[in-house]
Amino acid sequence: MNPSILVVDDEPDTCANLRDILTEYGYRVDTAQEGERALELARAHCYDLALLDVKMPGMDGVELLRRLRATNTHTVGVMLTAYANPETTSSAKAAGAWNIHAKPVDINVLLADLHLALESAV
Amino acid sequence: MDFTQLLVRFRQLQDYVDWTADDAQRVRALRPILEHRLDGIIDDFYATIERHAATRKVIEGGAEQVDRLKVRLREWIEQLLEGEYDESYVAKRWRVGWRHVEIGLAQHYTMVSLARVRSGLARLVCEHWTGQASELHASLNALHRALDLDLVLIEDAYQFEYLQRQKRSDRLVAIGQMAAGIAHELRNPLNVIRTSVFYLQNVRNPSEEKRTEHMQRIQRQITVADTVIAALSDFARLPLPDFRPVDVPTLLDETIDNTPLPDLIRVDRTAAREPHHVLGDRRQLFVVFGNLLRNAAEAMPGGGKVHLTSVRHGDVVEVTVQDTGPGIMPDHLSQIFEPFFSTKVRGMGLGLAITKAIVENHGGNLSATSTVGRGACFVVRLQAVEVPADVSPDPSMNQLSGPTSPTPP
Repeated sequence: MNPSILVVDDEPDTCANLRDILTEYGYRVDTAQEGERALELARAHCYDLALLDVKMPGMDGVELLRRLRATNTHTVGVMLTAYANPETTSSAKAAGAWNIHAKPVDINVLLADLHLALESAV
Repeated sequence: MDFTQLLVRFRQLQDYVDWTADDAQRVRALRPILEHRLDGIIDDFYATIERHAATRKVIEGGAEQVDRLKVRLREWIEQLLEGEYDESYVAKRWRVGWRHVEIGLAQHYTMVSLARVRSGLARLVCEHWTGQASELHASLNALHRALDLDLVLIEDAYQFEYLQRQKRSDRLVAIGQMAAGIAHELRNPLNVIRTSVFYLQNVRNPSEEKRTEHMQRIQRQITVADTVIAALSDFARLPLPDFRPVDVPTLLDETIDNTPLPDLIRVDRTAAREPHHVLGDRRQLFVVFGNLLRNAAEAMPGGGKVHLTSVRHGDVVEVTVQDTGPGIMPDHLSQIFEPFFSTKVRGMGLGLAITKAIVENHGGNLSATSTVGRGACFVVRLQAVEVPADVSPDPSMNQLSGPTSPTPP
């Protein structure tokens, strides 16, 4: 079974594009635009990986990751952010993130990293 | 530069030093003693400037300039001795102070130069006094207080320049603080564009539908990025505020008349109609109230009522803009003033951040409260200011200065 990824970003176009690309590369993808909806999806299905935007109105990505991993401990978390700074990186890592990627994302680097993240989780 | 307000302050200061018509009369009476004996003082003034390295450098035009300046100094002393301390006097003295600011003479040198003039004049009065000895003291006292009041005007000019510099610096700081938000807001559209390009470049034979979808997505995000840049430019281009007394009820009427709103929106004005004033930049306050009015209208796409009130409570004028829309969620209330808070929420984005920045630049504050389902309420609080009935603004003195011009009219 191909790995499943939950993509969460408040910008619908970002979700759509990540879905298009990741699907092409063989992943099964679900998307959400905010935290509560993401948690709802995660309750129904244990995702292999969560690809989360850091800055969102309401619940931010780091808080969401914390809550996702509280119930789905095997879900690997990868963060995306337009605000790359040391504080964001350390709080993401503290919440259990595998890595954090700066926007605009280098897709090749991201794809390689997702692959690595999923291998390591097995 | 508002000379009306300056005159108000000048009168308060005259009052503080117990200046009377008698004092003005005494100063006028000194004129015959002094007016033909000023050469020594004037020559000394410029000789001293020449002697000191720090002051010498402001004289760039050589002897010719010094001759012209000597004429000015003579006029300055003669005007002091005319004994008419009205708005024209205040404006002229202030402008002389401003001239010193412009040529870059440090404030302390302006002060000590004035001290030399003072000593020279006082010495002349004593040497050539022909009246009663008991009157000499009172006349000197009047002269000194007149010069002290002149000093206040000169210092005010220096203060004005300092404040302008401060405002420019604050503006740059605000733009710098927005840089982080801007980076975020531009990187998101760029991310969408990059991922769409990646898709189109790497996917084998994407369907026509998919290609169109991605092209449109790219276009849309370019527009988003451009909007962010335009909003930032607007903010950076806002002229430095030029503060004068503004009658709030009149301004609100003008704002309503000049802010196009959809037909279904009704504006209900129950402001106190008696004039009440704040010290502010009329154009910028117009932007503030226009933004709040538009936001309220945008919160009610199906139509509704905007309730606008303005009232003075002691030292504070409070303007309230209330709508009957869906309200703002508690989570969002703390974020709505952040630059670029959710560009997807209509009516927010940069508008409220700019509005808040303008209000705070006026020394006021802007706050929002809301009950979900019952609309939102924005309150602008600004410092009230008195405009005394007997002081009438002279139109020639109160022309608006140009944006960021260092020279007031």
